[in-house]
Amino acid sequence: MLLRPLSLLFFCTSLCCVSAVARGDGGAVVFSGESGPLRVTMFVEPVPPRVGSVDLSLLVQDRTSLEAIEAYTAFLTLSRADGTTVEEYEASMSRNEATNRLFQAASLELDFAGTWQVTLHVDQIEGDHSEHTFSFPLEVAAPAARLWDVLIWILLPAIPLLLFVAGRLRRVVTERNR
Amino acid sequence: MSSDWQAFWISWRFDVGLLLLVLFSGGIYLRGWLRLRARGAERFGPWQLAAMLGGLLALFLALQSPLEAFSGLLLQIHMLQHLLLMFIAPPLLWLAAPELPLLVGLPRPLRRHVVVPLLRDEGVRMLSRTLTHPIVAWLLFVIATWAWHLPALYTRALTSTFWHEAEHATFFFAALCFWHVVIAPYPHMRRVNRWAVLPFLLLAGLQGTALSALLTFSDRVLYPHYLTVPRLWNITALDDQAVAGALMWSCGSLVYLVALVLVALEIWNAPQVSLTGRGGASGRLAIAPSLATIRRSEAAHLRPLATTARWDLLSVPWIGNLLRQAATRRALQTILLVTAGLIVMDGLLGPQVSPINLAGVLPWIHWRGVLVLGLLVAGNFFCMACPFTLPRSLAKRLLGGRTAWPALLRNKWLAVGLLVFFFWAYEALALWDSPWWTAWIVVTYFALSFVIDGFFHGGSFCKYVCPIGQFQFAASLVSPLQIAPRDAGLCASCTTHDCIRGGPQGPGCQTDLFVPQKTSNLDCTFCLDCVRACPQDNVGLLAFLPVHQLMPAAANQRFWQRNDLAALLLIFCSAAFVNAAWMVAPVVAIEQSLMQVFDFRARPLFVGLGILLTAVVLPGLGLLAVAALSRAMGPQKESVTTLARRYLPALVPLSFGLWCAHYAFHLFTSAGTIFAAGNRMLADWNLAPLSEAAAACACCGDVAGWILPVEILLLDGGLCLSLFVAYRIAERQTHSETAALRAWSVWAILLLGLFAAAVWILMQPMQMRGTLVLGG
Repeated sequence: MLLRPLSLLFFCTSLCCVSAVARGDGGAVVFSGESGPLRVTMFVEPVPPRVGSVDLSLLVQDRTSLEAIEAYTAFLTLSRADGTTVEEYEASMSRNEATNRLFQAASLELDFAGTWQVTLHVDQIEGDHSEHTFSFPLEVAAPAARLWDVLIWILLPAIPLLLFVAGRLRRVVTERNR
Repeated sequence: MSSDWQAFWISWRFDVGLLLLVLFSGGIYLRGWLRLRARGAERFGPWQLAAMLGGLLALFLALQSPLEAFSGLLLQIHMLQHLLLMFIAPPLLWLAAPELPLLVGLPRPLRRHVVVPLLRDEGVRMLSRTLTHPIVAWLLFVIATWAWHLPALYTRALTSTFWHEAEHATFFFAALCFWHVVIAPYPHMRRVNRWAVLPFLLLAGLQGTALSALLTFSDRVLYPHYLTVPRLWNITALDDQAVAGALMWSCGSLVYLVALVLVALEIWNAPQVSLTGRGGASGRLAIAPSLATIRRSEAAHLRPLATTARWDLLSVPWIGNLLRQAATRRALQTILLVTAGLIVMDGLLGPQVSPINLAGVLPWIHWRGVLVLGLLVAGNFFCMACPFTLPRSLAKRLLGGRTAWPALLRNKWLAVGLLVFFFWAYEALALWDSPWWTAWIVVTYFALSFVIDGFFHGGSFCKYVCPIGQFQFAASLVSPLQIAPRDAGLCASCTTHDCIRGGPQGPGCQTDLFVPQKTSNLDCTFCLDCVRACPQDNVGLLAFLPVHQLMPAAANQRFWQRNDLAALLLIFCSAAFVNAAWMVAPVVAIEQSLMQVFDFRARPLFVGLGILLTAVVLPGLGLLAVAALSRAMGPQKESVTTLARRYLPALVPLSFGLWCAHYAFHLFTSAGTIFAAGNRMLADWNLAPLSEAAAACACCGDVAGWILPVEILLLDGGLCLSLFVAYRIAERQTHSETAALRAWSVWAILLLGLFAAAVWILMQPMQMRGTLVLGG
């Protein structure tokens, strides 16, 4: 039947194409700690973080009730020393950067692989207006080969090619059976 | 409402891609649905439309709503997302019977020339039959469900966006196959007895129950990821898992149950098989009318489809009228003439710094990029607006213009030689970096075209000399628009042949093309003189499939065997690779090391040898070798050289894809340089202050992430078209499917190798030609 594959192809190809470009914040937990009344959890994406664009997302909760706290400002410092040079990045975290509005997020471009020291400053706007500082190491891997970023686009012709060859082979088999 | 819940309700994602997919799908379906309703197809009622919109809404909610944002924090929310993707969206989409409305809703050229041939393809049909086979569909559904619920894969999906989206795509795809068997949407034949659907659903329900029970009654957390993330709403990870299992159990079972009841009712209400009557003479069984009969009957009631004429750009109300006017062409030529004047002036008098000189940026970044993209989406519109031919009438008046072009030169050899010379000059003299040379090339072009067009008859310069024109002619063989008769029958009865000879309404074709015999865009400058000259208004700018002109069935066989034409196509194809490769770092390094090894002092000589070797000799020998191999693989009567010429057009689409990718790269990355160069020129004339913001546009910046995928997509398209053309040629050359496949396989390997080489070139660090190097 001529129409049979149409919608199947239509929906799935479109969804696969869209899937390949979609992304969001979240990822894996890289740090969780408590200070005063706060409990903070830091997520990173991609997993593992690689040289290039890295998303850091932060969730701040009340230590006892585990209810999310929204009234705070957060500031990140990432530093890395290799004996001769010191690299340092700073970024303010923002709720607008995050898809999940419980989080605040920041996106950074990291240029080097290795261990980065992350220092997180959280200032509570309401309540006791206390300041809290957390520090933890973040392992950043070497960048993935550029090929992986575009592999899906390179392999795209394989689908019509395989379908085409399969159809021709079927004809060959029919021809031989005659 | 707590702040957590407030945050939940506003955590929406808006991926433009998915939003467009949903809107386009809905729009195409709605268009098709309305058209079918207008033709009286009562099968497509409001319920089908509601099902389609509901299915798309479920898809959108699953992927863009707060469910997506919170799926990494709570398993039950992730489960809801999966239920929407597997149990709500797919059955709703199939209940909408989407195939026919989607097909009818597509734009006609796309439906006729792309989608229908694709759907008719044996491979596509075989794949779809396989995927919707009950056993395959059931296994896909069950394997997808269980595999993604394995802790290792599930955790992988939770920590990686890519794998998360892959998980969703797999679920949705498997569910589409599964529910296709259950619903068997119109107009499909029901391949399985409806009784068989009952155990099909029951068995699926059983395995779903087993998985749900595993999640609900487990005494440990199966997915450690949920132990590491912060807990929301005081729900423990184990409780969360139990609720997720219960959701899967209840919702899944409910959907299976509803489906079972509906299928059972359908079986109950189905027309029963009965004997034609106890006293029937034949004694044959009379059954309810078959679906094929019903479809035929419905088709008879549908009103006929629209006319089958090709889409004609000249019939588009406003644009068509505008293009027909000779004044439009003259206006376009005048604009480009003024631009060429500015290029010459700035090239000769301005600073010799390419990124801030109009002669450094306009021809090599903007013109080339717009030119290839124009050829890709429409046709040879640059020749239409070519400024070099604007003074043609003046030249003919001054110099006579009656001499016939020498018979010896009535071929492409001179133009091919000039094309090779142009590629050599581009590399050897670094034209992109020399405004002065660029300006002189423009001046020389004007002088040559003026003299040649002045002395010789018609458009001899365009047809036999102009190397840029030859490039455009070769590239426009893949363009979708072509000058062609609207009604071939009308041309057959024509006796005046005004389209070539000219008549009271205007001059005829300057390159001696006779419209009824024209099978390709070769030598056609899109001047539209033939359109204006035809007294019957029977010449149009018609849309064809991009490879129509290269198809041996449509093309003139003797025409494609011309050696000069083969040489032009060979240079067009090989130069695409040589020109692009010469701007990437590894090839530049090889060039420098070779010059050192052979102690070459004169770079122009080295470049000349390099061009001859890589663009002429090696590709020619390679082509002959592949033709010989193809001849050995699949029996073909013709000689190796004839076969090489025969298959050469198959390389054109892929090469054109590389030209497009290469020039589009420069356009997309350096389009802003026009502001830097324009501002600098205006400042030189004291017409504007020198702007630092504009100057920044001359500096190379980051290459946007979307550019490489777009470049590769252009190559993908070229490869598919090339493979298709090669197969059609092989099919024509041989007399059996087996021989055709064998002969084609050699060319397919060559094309895949060239595709790999092109991808490699595009992935190398490019020289940011035409821009100032930052920090340099």
